[in-house]
Amino acid sequence: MATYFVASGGSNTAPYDTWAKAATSLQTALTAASTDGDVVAIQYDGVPSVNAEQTVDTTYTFAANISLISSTNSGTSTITPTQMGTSYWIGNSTANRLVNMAGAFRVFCYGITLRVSGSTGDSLVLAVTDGAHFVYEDCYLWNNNTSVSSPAISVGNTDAQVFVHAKNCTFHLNQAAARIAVASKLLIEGGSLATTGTIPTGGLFVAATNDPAGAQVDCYGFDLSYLGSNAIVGNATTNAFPVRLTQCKLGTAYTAMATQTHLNRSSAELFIFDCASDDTHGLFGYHNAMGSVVSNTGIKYTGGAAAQSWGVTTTANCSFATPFTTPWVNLYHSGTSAITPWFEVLRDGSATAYTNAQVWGEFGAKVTTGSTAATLYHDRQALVDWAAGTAGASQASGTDTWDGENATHWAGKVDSGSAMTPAEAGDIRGRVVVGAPSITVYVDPYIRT
Amino acid sequence: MPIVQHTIESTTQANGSTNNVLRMYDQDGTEYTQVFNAPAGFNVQTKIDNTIVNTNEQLAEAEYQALLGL
Repeated sequence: MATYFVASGGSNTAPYDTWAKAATSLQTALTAASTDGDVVAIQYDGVPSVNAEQTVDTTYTFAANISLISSTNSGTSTITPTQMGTSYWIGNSTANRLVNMAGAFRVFCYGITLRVSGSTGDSLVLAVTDGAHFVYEDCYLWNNNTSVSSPAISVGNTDAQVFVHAKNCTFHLNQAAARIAVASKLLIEGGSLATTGTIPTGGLFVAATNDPAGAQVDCYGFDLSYLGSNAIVGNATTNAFPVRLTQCKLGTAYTAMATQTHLNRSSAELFIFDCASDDTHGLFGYHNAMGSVVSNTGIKYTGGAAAQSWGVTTTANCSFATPFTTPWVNLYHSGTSAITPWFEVLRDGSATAYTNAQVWGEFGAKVTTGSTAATLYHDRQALVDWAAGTAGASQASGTDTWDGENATHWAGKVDSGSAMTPAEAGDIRGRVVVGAPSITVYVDPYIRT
Repeated sequence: MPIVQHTIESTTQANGSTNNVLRMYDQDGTEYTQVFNAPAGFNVQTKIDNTIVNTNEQLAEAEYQALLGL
């Protein structure tokens, strides 16, 4: 393993193995670092001018599985990791100069700031090469470009299969049409959307516009509160685009997803686990083009497990044939007797029962001895009846012990449709399916047996 | 196809915030739905107005792209 140094004040003398002999171009060191495990150390406050104020669009090409560390210049050959922050950078501070990070390798970057500026559309691409795996820790990812043509911090800018992990990084955008454009896989842990600059309004996360290779985003502990009420996920026109947020801080009155062009599940979907804009904990959300589930603490089953219900709202795109389906709820079960599990549900503002063509339950359990394969059960209306145009049958009445509902309401339940006999210990899974457009159903998200 | 009509359903939450379901309809009667939470005292009407503006922009863009075959 060798270390190569980069500093504006270096003598640019091969093999660049001390700060004194540091290369005066980042690419010179990246080219020299051609053995797996090599390290390139760049002086955090001494970025060579050719890199700090690029005169042309620049692709930084990595030649092996190496690390790029922003460091204090010790004067010897030691490395002291130090972030560039907002004072120093690689890129350009005024002009639009594209920054590409390239190479189909496992690359670790610490503390660097990548900066794109100007007013003519340009991107900052965190991993551009098919097969690239880039990890950024404590980095500042800054696209200050103000072009109206959607400047982006990109994860792959073509049909690229890449992985980017941004750990405790700051994403800085400065245009209403700006976004984080994802062509492949993006994992964000910690960090934030910078609390300065023009706020993106069209959706922070979008699938890249050039037919990405399975775009998806996972965020844990990410602070997006600067987005305010704007959309978290944009219109996904090129990819069935899943975004998952866990214990993140959201904007006040955030919009989950922009209106989707594709009115079905080939568009975006957003999972929200234990996220809120304030000190409200444990909330859950799930959104796609067919409908949404949002935690509701105003209407809930009395004594329910989490003092909240799932408010299920369907869109006009939902139907019996293409229903909205909630995420699964799990319940560990070790019994081997026949059971008919169910969910308590509520219709608020109407005493008319939902039918089994409008709302039904789906459950799964391991009912075969010696097998982990689950068998599915439901109480949906029979297809033959639906196809014949027969009205659905009313679902059964529930326990009717809810809080916060209108005096006029219907409390019911949806179940597995028939008894099932688990043969192996493990999770029973259940979910509620809504096959009617533009309705609201409240669900106590707990499987009862 | 601009939004010409909308409805809002709000339920008050345990902490005083509201859960809101905004249903918007264009001149063809096509429905577009947005669900959002708002803290107590939040100006929900402003959020509704902004959402309608943003939806109109999106629909205009989609219509433009459809006309061009993009």
